[in-house]
Amino acid sequence: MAPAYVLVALDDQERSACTQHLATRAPHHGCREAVAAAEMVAARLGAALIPQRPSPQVWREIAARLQEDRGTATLPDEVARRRGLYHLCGWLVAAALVGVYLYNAPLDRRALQAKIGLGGQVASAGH
Amino acid sequence: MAIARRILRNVEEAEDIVQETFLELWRRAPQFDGRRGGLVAWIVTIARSRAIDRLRSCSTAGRTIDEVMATPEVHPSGPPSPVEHTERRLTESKVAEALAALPPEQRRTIQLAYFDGLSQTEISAKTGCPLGTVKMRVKLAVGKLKTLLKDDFS
Repeated sequence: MAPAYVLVALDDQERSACTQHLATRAPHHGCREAVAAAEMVAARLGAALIPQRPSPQVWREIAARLQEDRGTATLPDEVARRRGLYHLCGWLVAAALVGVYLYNAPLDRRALQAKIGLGGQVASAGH
Repeated sequence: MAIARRILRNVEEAEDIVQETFLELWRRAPQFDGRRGGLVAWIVTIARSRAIDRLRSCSTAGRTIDEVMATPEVHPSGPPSPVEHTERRLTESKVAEALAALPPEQRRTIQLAYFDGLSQTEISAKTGCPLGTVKMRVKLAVGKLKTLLKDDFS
């Protein structure tokens, strides 16, 4: 049934039953693989037609509708969650860098003072 | 757009489908899986499904087989670049060869199902073949095409 499902050649009732079945977590005996294989074939079949470009007006309308859509678009949950995680990681890395800098700053100052003192001794030894 | 026009036989409706397809692509972009045939294939799949949905909702599927078979092929409105042209010709010829290698009755069934958007029941009614035979032809044809186009997938 997978080839007919992919070709959208099933009747509406069969088609929705297949869609529901594929969406379930019930054991699939190769259904998804069969659908994927048929999809590859269907995807290639479109190449047999001579391509045709729509009028420029269509592109303008698509651009306008996408612009409208962008204003109201919400991110899908997964993308939003991942983006939030990246932001959190960014802030954690920044906080860690500031912490390391603050922790090392007094040590650096002491090391610098020690170096200057040593430098002074060398300078005085030279005289 | 060619697939929508082929299925709907109407330029304005096909252009509507192009619009709907691009909006759907925009909304479903995170779902794109390149392993399942590439971007163009995904676009064609969405456009074709939309066109079939419209065809069936408008009940314009009452076309006769003669009408379906007699409709001339559509032509591009703008010339492709030489590279595009060569790649396209290669893909077209591979698919055309694969289709030509099918037994005539299987090829005709695939033409009616894929390129004309008819359901198996409609194909059965219009060709006079039993539904079981049509189902078997679809299954066998897709199986053969899968083997014939195997190199193309890799």
